[in-house]
Formats: sequence, C-alpha cells, structure tokens
Amino acid sequence: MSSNDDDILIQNYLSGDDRAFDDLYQRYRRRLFSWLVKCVQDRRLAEELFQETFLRIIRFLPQYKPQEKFSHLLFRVAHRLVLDAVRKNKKDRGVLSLMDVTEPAAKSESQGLEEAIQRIPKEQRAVIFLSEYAGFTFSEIARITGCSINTALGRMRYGLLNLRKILKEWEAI
Amino acid sequence: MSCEEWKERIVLLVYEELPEEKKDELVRHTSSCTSCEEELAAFREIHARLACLPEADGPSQGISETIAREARQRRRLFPWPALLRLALASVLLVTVGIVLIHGHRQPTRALTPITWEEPKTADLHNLHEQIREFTQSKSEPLVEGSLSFYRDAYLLEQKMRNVSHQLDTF
Ligand SMILES: [Zn+2]
Repeated sequence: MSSNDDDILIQNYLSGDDRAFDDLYQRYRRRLFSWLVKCVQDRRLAEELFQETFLRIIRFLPQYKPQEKFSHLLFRVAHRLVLDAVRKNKKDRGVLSLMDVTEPAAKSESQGLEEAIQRIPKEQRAVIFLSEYAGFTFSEIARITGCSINTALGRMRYGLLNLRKILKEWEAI
Repeated sequence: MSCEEWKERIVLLVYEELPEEKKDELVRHTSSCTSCEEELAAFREIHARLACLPEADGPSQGISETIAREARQRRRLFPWPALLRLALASVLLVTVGIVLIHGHRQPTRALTPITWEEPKTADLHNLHEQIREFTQSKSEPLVEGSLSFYRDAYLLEQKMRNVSHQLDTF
C-alpha cells in the first residue's frame, strides 16, 4: 500500500466521501490494533487506545498535510498514547498489567518470549515492536518516536541483547 | 573497523536494511570473528521467534462502528469553519468600508472592543440543533469532542453580532 494512496483517500474523505475513510481505516485497523495489543498486553486497554488514536486522527485530518506520511502520523499518535498509558499503569499498580502473571506454570515458548519483552526498557521495546509488528524501517521508527536513526538502531540492538540475556537465563532454569 | 561498528551493521543485516554492497564484507567479517558471528546468529534466532508470535485480529465491531460514526459526524462539520470564516471576513470588509466612508464625512469614531460571554452547554446544544436543522442532517447527539467546535462557532457568532451592532450605532 503506498502512502500516496493514503493521501488520496484522505482528500476524498475531506471532500465528502465517507467510504474513503472506511478504506483508510481498513488499511490500518489490524496493523495498528495488533501492534497495540503487543505493546500493552491487554486487549481492553488496546481497544481504548485504538479508539482514542483514531478519534484524534479524525479531528486532525482537516489540517493533515501530506509532508508527513499518514502511517507515521497514526503510529506517532498511538505511540504517545501507549507511553502515557504505561506511565499511568505503573503509577496505579506498580507494574504494567501483563497477561497471566498469576499462572507462571507451563508457559508456552511464545508466552515466555512475550513476557521477556515486557522486561526490557520501554524505549527498546517500542523499537522492536514498531519494526517487528508494524513493519517500519529504522528511519521511520526514528521519525515516529522522535529520535535519531542511530538511537533507534542502538535501542534495537540493546533490546535484542537484553532479550537474549533474559531468555538465556530463563531457559537455563 | 572495530567489532562495535560491525555489530551496528548486524542489526541492519538481520532486518534487511543493509545495502547489498555492504553485506558481503560483513558476512566475511562474521565468518572470521566468533563474537560477531554469535551476535548475528542470536539476533536472527530472536527475529525469527518474534515473527512467530500470534497476532491479534482486530478491535471489536463496536469500536469500528464508533470510529466510522465519528468520522461521518466530523466530516459534516468540516465546511462550517470555512463558511463562518467567510462570514466573518465579509463583516470585517463591510466594517472597514463603512469606517472609510464615514471617515470622509465626519471624524471617525473608534469601535469599542468586542466583548463576549462563554456559552453554557445548553447554548451549544441549541446551536448544534440549529446547524443540524439547517443542513437537514440526520439527528445525532452532540458528542463531547465536538463541544469545542460549537463553542468557537458560538463565540464567533456573538462577536459578529457585536460588530454589526456597533455598525448600526454609527
Ligand atoms: Zn567482530
């Protein structure tokens, strides 16, 4: 899907074609949602953030300028909401709510991996998720998260190193 | 090149962002450096495992409907700020014109500053209703997010009335 097509859909929507918005929404619905679920590990919270992201985007669209890719704008808004939610969650409960932390026994390999990701610093996690589940390049990730490409690359590398370390420790048990 | 520098490229290689011409030299280095070779293998393995994690399908139907409804409701408001701006611009133009004409005949009187009052929520709902009737759009409740738009429209209308009242007293 090209970003050019996104711009055409946005223009059509702004000039009165509601269907164009539906098409735009369909393009990003699953990509954004599955990324959000990965980030917050909580389907209900992910739904809240998903809705809030799109409501903000809708409000912003009349001012939208194609200089910034729509996908970057969408994930930039969502990324900021995720950071806020994580911060708020930490304050409320001490830790980010994770999936079944109450049942540590018989974790599948994928559950172990998901839990390990939640243990690494959030900036590193954000880069890993934006790359793995939202399909962005490192220069795009830099733009979305507001850092330099080198920082994004460094976060990716240290994120992967941390993951490897945690997994090694767990697998040694 | 130091191993640290090679390692920066390893991430790019794993995520397929390393330019073709730089791939060969990196692969050559990793085949002769245990530390870099190990890091490359580890990153490839984690990348493959991450790619296998299950993905969520999509948000619930209700959320998609809320978003579609909001998109439609908002879109109907888009032409309004432009229309109101146009209305304000014409009022200002008339003001300037009249002030200029009067200026030739008598000493100009300065316009008093425009004052306005913050609308009550009920006023905003009234305005919403008026616009809805005017545009003959389907009845939909006024949502929280639209309140600021109606507030702006309300204040603008008050200011315009204030200006035209001052013009009448000229
Ligand atoms: Zn090396």
